[in-house]
Amino acid sequence: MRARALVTGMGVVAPTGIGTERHWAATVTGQTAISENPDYVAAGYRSTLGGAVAGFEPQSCLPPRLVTQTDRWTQFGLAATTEALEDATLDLSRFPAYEVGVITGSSSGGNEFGQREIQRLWNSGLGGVSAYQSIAWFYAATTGQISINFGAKGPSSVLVSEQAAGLDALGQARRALRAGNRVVVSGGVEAPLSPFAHACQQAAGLLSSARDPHACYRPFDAAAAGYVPGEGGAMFVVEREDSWLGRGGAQAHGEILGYAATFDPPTRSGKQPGLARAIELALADAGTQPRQVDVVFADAMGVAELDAAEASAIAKIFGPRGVAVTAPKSMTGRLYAGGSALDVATALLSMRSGIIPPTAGTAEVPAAYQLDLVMGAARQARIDVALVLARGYGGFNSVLVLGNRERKG
Amino acid sequence: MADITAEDLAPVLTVAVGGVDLPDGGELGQTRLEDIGFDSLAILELLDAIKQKWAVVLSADAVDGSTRIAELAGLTNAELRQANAG
Repeated sequence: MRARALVTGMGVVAPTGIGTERHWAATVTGQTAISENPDYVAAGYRSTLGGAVAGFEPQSCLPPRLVTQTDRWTQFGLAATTEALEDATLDLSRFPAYEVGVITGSSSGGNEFGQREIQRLWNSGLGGVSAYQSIAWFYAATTGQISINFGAKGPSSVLVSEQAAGLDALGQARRALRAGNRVVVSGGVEAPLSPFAHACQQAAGLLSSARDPHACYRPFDAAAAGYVPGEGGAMFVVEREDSWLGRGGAQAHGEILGYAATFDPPTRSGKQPGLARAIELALADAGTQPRQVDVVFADAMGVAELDAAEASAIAKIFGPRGVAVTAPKSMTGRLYAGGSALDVATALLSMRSGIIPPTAGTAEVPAAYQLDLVMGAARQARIDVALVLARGYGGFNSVLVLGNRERKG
Repeated sequence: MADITAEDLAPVLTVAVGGVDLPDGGELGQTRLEDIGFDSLAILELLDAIKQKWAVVLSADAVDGSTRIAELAGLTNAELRQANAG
């Protein structure tokens, strides 16, 4: 019998709040956390809005040494991990170090640190570049710093699949538990709002150029015209059920029931995108029927063609308006690897409270989408099973099935 | 110019790692770099900070975690004398 993977702790650093409860309190109200970035405006960028984590002071939660040596992205990861471990009431020093792993998702690594060092290179030459650039920028830096600072010496890695990476990390974490590890610290965070990172995103042509924070990112809307980037994410303690029971089995937010990933075919191949197939595989992995799913947290690109494709996949699996769908990332922006992880946190919080948070910004969903999108206000609902979808730029599709510990049947 | 002391190196050590707890008085000079958390990257940053402050280039081969702060001051002074003599 395969080991069951429970989420026993979580930590959030998001535009909607630093800390899980602050994030949830803002999310259920449908209150946007997207705002104008004055630097983008001054630089004349076409897209000027973003979901920034306000009030994050790394020096208040990290030792000075780590603040100097790490990018804002890793600082998010360390802060969220600290909360997740406290939430799980888990003292990693009491576990055999090699039975605790760290698996994170990242889309772009240490953007801000890297940009600063590139500027120093051009201004001051080689000697001006910090030695810490070698450890601050690369995709596994957050995994490494979490491992070092929390003493986790087990299997550790990073998944790089853009928005899908947060789910891919959690799927890999479950594999690690089934391979014999007791605990995996997992999730995803991102900090892509530095000018250089923003310029890279603008080049993809998918960012919204709207100026109104309340109507700039409109998933599944008839007038959808791009998304807004954001920073932050969520980290989790994913624990084998026997380990959790062995230490008293107090709190578990939920269970990872199933996971699957596919990759889209070439654009002009005539073949269907892989999202529907990923949903089918994830549900099969979970032993769950579509009718048992109570809510879908959509990928919600906010680009008409991609929204239509996602709506088509959901309708194909669940039937016309067959399941409640929501996209709370409309309040934070797309956080890339942090976004899918944050969706997982929000889904688990939805299970706890019996509330589906709304999608902000969307006013009119085309009838052809056949979508029951939760808009305007939060919706009360018993949630036993939640599906989280994530598509990464370039063709990644990942799906995670979450189960309520209190679910019936 | 007076010789550089271990106390003179204290702010440079702090800049290199962003903050470090240094012992007081006579213990400072005998403290090894590894005892105050200097890994290989931090040492590279330290050597760069010394270069920025005193225009002295110390070889990374001459300094490692076992180097005591007093020894580091000695190496720096030796390089300064050589530079001034030349």
